[in-house]
Amino acid sequence: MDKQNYCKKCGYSISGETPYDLCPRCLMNLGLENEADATSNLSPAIEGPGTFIGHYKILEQIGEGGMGVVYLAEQQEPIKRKVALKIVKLGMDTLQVVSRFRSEQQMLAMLDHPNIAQVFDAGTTDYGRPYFVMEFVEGMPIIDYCDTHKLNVAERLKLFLQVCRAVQHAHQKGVLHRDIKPSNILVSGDENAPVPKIIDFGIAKAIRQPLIEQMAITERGQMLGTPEYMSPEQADMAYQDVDIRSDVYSLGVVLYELLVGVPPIDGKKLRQGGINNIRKIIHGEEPQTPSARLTDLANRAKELAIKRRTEPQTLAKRLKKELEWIPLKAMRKNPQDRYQSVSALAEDVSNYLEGSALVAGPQTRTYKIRIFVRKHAALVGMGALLFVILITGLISTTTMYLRADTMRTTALKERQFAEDQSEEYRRLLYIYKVALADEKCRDQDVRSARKLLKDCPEDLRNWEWHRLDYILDMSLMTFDLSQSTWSLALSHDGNRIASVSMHGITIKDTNSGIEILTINESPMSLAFSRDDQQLISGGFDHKVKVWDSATGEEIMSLSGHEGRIKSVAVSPDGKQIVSGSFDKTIKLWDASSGRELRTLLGHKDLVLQVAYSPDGSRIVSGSSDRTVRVWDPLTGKQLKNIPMDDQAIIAATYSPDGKYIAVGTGQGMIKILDAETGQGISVTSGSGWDQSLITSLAFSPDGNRLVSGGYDQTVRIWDPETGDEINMFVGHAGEVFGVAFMPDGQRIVSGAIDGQIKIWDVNANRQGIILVGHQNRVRHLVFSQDGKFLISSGEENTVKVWDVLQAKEIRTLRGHEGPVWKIAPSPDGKRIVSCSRDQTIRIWDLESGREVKKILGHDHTVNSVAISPDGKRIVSGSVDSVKVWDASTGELLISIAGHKAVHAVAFSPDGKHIAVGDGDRTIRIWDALTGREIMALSGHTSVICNVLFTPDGERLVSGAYDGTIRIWDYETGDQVMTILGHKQKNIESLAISPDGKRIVSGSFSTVKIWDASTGAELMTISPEHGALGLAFSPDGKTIAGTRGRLGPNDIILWSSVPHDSANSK
Amino acid sequence: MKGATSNHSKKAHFRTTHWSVVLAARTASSPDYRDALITLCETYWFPIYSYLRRQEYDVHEAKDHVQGFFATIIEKQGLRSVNPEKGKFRSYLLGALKHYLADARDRDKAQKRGGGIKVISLNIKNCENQLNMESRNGLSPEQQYDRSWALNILQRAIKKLEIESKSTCKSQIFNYIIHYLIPSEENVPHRVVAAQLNMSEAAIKAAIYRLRRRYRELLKDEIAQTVSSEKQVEEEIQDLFVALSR
Repeated sequence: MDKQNYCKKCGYSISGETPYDLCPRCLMNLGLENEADATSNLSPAIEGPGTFIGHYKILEQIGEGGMGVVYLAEQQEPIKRKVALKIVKLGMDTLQVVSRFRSEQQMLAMLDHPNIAQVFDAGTTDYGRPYFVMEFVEGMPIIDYCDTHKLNVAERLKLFLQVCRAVQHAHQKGVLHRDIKPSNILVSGDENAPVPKIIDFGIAKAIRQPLIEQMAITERGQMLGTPEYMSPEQADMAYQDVDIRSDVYSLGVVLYELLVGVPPIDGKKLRQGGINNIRKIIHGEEPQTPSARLTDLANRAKELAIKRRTEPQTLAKRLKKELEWIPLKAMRKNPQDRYQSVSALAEDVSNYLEGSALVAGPQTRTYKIRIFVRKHAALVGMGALLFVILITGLISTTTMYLRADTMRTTALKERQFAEDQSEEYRRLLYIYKVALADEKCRDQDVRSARKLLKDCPEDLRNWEWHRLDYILDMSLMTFDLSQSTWSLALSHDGNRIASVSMHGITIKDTNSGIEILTINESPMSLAFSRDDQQLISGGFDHKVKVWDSATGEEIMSLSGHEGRIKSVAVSPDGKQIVSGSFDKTIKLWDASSGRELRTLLGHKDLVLQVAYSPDGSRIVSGSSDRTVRVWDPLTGKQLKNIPMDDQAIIAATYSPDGKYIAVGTGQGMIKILDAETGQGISVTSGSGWDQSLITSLAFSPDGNRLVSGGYDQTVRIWDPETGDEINMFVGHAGEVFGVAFMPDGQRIVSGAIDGQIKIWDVNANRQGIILVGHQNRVRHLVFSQDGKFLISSGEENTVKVWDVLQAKEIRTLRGHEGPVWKIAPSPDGKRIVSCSRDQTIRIWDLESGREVKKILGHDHTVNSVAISPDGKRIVSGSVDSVKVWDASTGELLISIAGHKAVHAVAFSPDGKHIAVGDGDRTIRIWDALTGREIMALSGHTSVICNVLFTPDGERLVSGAYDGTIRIWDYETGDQVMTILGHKQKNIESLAISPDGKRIVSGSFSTVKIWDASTGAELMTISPEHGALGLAFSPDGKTIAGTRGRLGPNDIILWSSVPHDSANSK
Repeated sequence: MKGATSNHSKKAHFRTTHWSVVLAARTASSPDYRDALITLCETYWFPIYSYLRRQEYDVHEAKDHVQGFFATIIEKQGLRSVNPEKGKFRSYLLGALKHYLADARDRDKAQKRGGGIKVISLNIKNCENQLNMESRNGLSPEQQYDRSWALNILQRAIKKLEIESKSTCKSQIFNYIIHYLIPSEENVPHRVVAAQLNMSEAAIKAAIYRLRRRYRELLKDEIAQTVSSEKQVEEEIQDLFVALSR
């Protein structure tokens, strides 16, 4: 088919010149929409009886289900027949649905089974919605059929077996159903020969939307969909994680319902909460056993028994005695605990019918413990990790108890055992705390995150701990007043910070943090005079006071206000003082005489903020009366009264050019007002909660930045022109009450009520240091042996060398004529080996950047390269072979055949072996001298992209496109551990920390760090970009990563370097 | 600080639309009238051309007719029959074209067609490309005319949006957010774009919101140029929407 463009909204093919992948109709539609409904513009249902959809004439509506409306339709050509036509009505991407169906169609065509309804076609309606055309099946949903025809248990099981066989047939052809439920199993014929037909095969996949997301859509509108039959993995995981065992689960639910008349989880209950509730129930709630359920149903039990031509007691007994084990096993939460195939399930049903022993058994004790733990884990919200910990904890406690009971005699042994256990437990607890801290950190719950970190034993702290510690506070400096603090003022020269706590006013030197002066008074508000020689305070005692900022001597005390003074300011010429009070007035004072000049009346509630315009000709005030007012200080006249969206004004300040006024409100809104007109635009609308209250605002000296502090404990930097948030600082463990720009415009001072004053670098980057220079994707990274340099290879055919300390590019090595896939540093730190699509391997001198040698000999792209620990040999992997070369002469030493598409090669630390990972899903170990195969490690189910040895050479770590990282015992070849945790099914890069304790991995869109001994996830380093290449610095403090396939062509350095303890915290 | 201007411009565009100028001045042969009419012709020749092509005139005939038609309405003040209350420029133009073609047939017998008049410059190549891609069979010439008209309007609105946005926000940002003009599952999540641009998610959303709002304004503005009252704008959008739905 020609490459054609389709509208990304409705899937309509785009003809003519319409920009940005949108069809004219959608573009025009956008013009019709109200702003509010721009996100939900589903076309109304327009199809109806008599109308045509493609070749199909709609006859009548026969159903309406989760995904859409089903019509009986008549196919006109090539043959005339009745079909069922299902129009998907959710806001799905038509084109994708249809094209996915097309790709699946061949598979579906292979489904040739009397109990499977065929899906003939798919297409797009004129209104841009996808539809499916299916064999028209006249029948009743299986449950209804069985009840109507009063089938007994054995008959039901036989019917169910037919269903299983049909599903099994599909599985054998590689097709999953993914949405098995009674309404998708239609039964016709009389009770002696019922014929089930499964409909909708392949449709769930074409629609692809995970079932749980369909629920999400319905959350907004009417309740559709059938969560009752959805497996736990469908309820929360990415769609690709679904396999045949999900169908086994759904069949188990159907069987359950066939036996006791209701599904294990009550639909009403499921639908009560939102999507999270559905998820929680499906995950956490163990189904009641059918027998217990029957007892619970009390009155209905009789009726149910009648429909099964039996008595309630008999039915309950049958269920209890083994039969119920079958659906329960099929419905286990963990796919591994279920029947591993539909045929296994069918076999057990047959076993029951024949009176043979069942494979399924009653629930074991461990299984129950696990479920108990999982339930609690779900409550805490920590999911799998906590689960692991608690399990280990519980099991060890249980075993310890048992052992203590039986091995009373060997006390020594016992103690040793207990110690081992507690060490293990301590480690797991550390992992749990760090992982939780990472989660809290992302939720900006700084206080909890910090507390969790503090609780971590020092000997276990590793990269992730230091990294989090750093992220949690990137401030340049912290002054701790160790007392709750509520107001601060920065001197105009930026050299002194005055703050107020219960101790009084403390003045500190900004650069050293040394305390210069303490004044034994605790006012409410503070300001420095223009020449910084005086400090003006507004008090709880209703007085404005003027202090000598060098000696702390009180110069004046001004009375007049009848309420607390929340804000004071000095006029730019230094001649006037303005004060705003809780008495709803603003007063102007002569700065030298202290005489009260004027009282500005107008605010109807507390005055919370007063400030002069830069030229002194205006005063702006903000009040809890929800207005901003502008006054002329000369006449005392109110010039403007600007109502502020019904929000109290906590902060107000003029821009340095006097053209704008920035205001911050009690509900977190920041607005920039035109000082002339009072009109304005929102920078941020805030959350609407008072937790987001803005306490303080300040413009940078050049007016290009605005800093805000607020109750959310963050300090944020904004571009006042665009309203963009430029930066955000976490680190305060309390509400931020004051912010100020240093005169250099590069640093910010902020104070929080926990008594800490922090100084921040405006440009500090939470993400890490970014190295920019590559023009195309960066593929691989290595550190030089001494850690001074980082070497990167890229798709623009170059290798670059970077100075790590200075974070800059030093040189570019040019010569390759294709993307450079991988690089390896020589052990002496002098050379770099690189391999490329240009079929060459090149050796470079790191110092000069010169190409020392070019090795030719591969006939295909060279995907991977490594140097032996003694630096004498190079191993390279290509599409069809692995070759070993003499590093100095470039001579071919060994050629190893037998691998397909090699993407990973590695030398063992002793240099004796070579590990090769290939596209054929196998890792093979070869003797590096003879080329003899030593062993093959299989387990991965997709292309292996990375193979690494741990530094001690005892283990091998591999990452593959099957989404797993596997750890192998190098001695035995046994797989020790599988790490599963990346949502995306591709591990693109791996690195091991120099101490061997951490593994860092990059997938399509995340970078995570794992504990190498337990496989537990510690932290998501990058939640938004994956990495094609990763490297640990030799000192273990920095991880370098590329930015994944979709990210920018940068390199990022995540540092965990601890803070300089001299001036921090 | 931006955005303050857009509010009052909403009402203002009505006083200055080309079509309203033409209608007001239709009896006089004032220079205003001619300029406005020529501007309109230059803007809307494409639907005329596609109508002609759908009528199965060849490229040259169609081209000559476009020029000849415009020359006629501009020189001969072919607007006298317009009723300003009902008048949409789109309908007027099609009506006038039909008249012209009927006349032209008679004229053709006597004299050479077109006569090489050149009123406006035509970029036939682009137009032909578009018509080729637009190979929607079964459209009547009138339907083709409406459809081309709608496309024309859309392209102009988008173009303006593009030019305007590129001058007011960084083009990098624009290139990203333009894809959010219409919400779609295919779109990269906001947070990803936000990270890439080093902006907050909220800022991205705000930018998208502004872009959408501006697009609507521009589209309406564009349509307003061709109708005679504000009321007709929505009506015309609906009509064009229908034209595109075929």
